[in-house]
Amino acid sequence: MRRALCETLNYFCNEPRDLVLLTGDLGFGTFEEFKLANPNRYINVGIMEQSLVNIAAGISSQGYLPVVYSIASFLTSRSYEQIKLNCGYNDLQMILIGAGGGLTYEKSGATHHSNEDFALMGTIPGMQLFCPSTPSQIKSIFGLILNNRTSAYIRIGKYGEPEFPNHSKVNKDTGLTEIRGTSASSKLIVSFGKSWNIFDLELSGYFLENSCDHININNLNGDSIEKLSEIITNYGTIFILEEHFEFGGLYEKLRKVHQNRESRIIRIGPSFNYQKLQVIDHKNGKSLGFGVKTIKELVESPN
Amino acid sequence: MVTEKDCFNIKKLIIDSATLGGEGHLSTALSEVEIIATLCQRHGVELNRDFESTLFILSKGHGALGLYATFLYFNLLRGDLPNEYNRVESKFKNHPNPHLIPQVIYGSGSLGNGIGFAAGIAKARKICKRVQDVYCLVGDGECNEGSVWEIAQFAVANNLDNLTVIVDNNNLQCVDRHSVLTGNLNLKVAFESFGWHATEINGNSLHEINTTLSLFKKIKNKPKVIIAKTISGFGTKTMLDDVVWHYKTPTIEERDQAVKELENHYL
Repeated sequence: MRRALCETLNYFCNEPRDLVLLTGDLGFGTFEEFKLANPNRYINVGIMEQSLVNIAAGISSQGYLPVVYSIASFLTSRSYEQIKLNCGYNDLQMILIGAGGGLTYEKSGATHHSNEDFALMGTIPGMQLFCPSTPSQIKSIFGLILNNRTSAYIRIGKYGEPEFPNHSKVNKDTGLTEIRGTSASSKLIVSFGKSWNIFDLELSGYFLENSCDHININNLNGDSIEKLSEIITNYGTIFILEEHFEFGGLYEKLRKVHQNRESRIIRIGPSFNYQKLQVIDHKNGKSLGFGVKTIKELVESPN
Repeated sequence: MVTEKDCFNIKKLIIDSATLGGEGHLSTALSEVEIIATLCQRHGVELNRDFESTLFILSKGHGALGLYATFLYFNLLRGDLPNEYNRVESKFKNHPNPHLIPQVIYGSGSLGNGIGFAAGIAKARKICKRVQDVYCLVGDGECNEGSVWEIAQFAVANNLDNLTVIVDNNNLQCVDRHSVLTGNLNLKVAFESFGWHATEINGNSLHEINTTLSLFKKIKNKPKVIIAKTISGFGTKTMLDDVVWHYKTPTIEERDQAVKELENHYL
């Protein structure tokens, strides 16, 4: 996904505004091509996330479009006030890239997890919220962002994320992708961003056996959430899969829309706890703190 | 050059506005006037005309009243400050709002951020080769914030000689003295240790401010900082160097007394 980010920055580097890439001393080896092509517009400020955003704001005021890159947990938590001040209050546009979002850095511990980034960024008026599900989505997301004048937050993963299966039906405007649809199922899985890929694990078998449909969404923006809300009314049980706490993410948004309906909306995601181990072990297909047993029980239970 | 009479008029406007508006951060508003007035006089209406002009960023947002009064006096702003300051419906809030007053450029109030914004402007101007300078006024209390020292590193690393920071070193914070809270931190030595060109001056001396700003134009390849040793409430006796005036609003009697003291000092 980071390679796709670099390709996207190279593609948009002069249109519609000149991009300036700022990093908080992260992205080793990721931005070499951009740096070579635009040496004056690549700035490593050092490890200073608060000032990273303040400096970007000053650069934005001079007509450039800053792209601010750091690890998601540091960028959104440590710089929250600066983002509120500069993007929210002073109305200075920038694109914030939170790398290694959710539980990407699962083994690094809670300091590196960002299960609250969308909750925080969602409090900034006008902030566009994106979580690309595959590397190829980054370019189309940038295209959408650049059509607006407000700031955007993009949570990305790291390297090696797969593309969707070939049969998937992608809608670039809404960011919704139908990964599996039977039209006959009463159960739907809604995955947020790259978390759709968790279905490569042991869970996929259970969902397949129980004929769950599967749709993915790559943003939390108004029109897309509205469209998704319409879709889920056709199902009796909806599983929300997201690497985020239960407030401020996809689950909470859909719960609000459907609070008076009979559908069961069940969240599958990290527990609200910084001390408990939260791991998705891709190699061995196991997860901790992600409620696997509960999922199995819920999927097998009647509506 | 700015005159003593100019300072009297601006400071009287500040005290009148704080008295009628019921709020003021008077100590800091009175200590910073000579600095802002000198910048206004040197750059005239080109100061903060738009984002491309020579810019002055008030990082210490609680000094808004001093900014308004000085900008009004030099015709960079218009308004009836005594009757509008700190009113609900007014543009003159007690921290500057760029959506209400475009000439303030940056909505500050949360300390330690305006200096980073100013450094970002200076860096962008290096990229696009725009020659206008950036000035940023920070408080000495604001220098408690770690983000100030982040920028102390960044500005040197990027050779931001188009950035001049002025520290209003009045040695008073909200409830205590800067020297007490920092263990007598020497701000000049601190900035120099990061690689800045630093000069310490009498920050209430119009001559010293003006001379230093002229000298700074010749300093290249490093950011510059003036440690302006000011006295809060300068020009009065009633409000002189007393921490209580960070919050206190003058009564009519205290206002009259302070204005008399200003007259005796300046006229």
